[in-house]
Amino acid sequence: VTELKKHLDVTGMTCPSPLIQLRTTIDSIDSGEVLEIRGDDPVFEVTVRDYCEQNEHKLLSVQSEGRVVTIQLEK
Amino acid sequence: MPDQKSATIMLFSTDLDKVLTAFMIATGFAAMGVNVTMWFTIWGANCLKKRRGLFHSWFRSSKLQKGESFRRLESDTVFQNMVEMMNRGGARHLPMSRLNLFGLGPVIFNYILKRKNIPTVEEFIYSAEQLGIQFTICQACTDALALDTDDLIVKNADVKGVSQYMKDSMDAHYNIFI
Repeated sequence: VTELKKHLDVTGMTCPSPLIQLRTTIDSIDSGEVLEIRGDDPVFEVTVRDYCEQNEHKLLSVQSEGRVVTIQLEK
Repeated sequence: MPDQKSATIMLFSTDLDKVLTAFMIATGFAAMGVNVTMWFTIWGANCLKKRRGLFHSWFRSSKLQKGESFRRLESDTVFQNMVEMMNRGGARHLPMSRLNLFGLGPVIFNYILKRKNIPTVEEFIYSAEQLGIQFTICQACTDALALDTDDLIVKNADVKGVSQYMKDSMDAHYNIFI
């Protein structure tokens, strides 16, 4: 299975900007596509988890290096 | 979408911090998939106004037609023009509720927001519009404060009354008044 991967970098942004960016990017991709999002807001991981739970997207992986968290999710 | 949730936010104040909070909540909720309706009344509509000159209200010719406008133009008084001079609004020119320091407070606050990479009120208004938030202005505010609904920075701002607000807020899961 070939997966198209889209990247979104929201490092340096503060809540609620990462959420707005995530929403606009999710709206522009097709269902089943994988999005990789990087951010360093302290509440970033919780935000993306809540977003996936609320909108029924699949969370694939969460990796954190220091403050920067990289999350992969499937629409 | 499991079930479409909705929220109404009534914005009454014109203070920078309160408007910013209202727009943060609105854009965040809309991004989470909530159907948000924002209501603007009295001073709250100031953040949607285009910044105009001091004497603009005296010489402007409104594009609103007399018959179909949301304002009763025939009962306008000279005091409304005076209020408009003191109350020009504009998203970049909002005062603060505390620590205004005669206009220096908002400048400092906007500098902090820029350092922290938080959008300004104007950017929040545009992103709110992109996220499909519905802007609604109170009819009484339009009438009393001589608000020109053609002269706003947002397109598609509705003008509605309190019965519509009752229907919206009773159906909504969340309603705040700032």
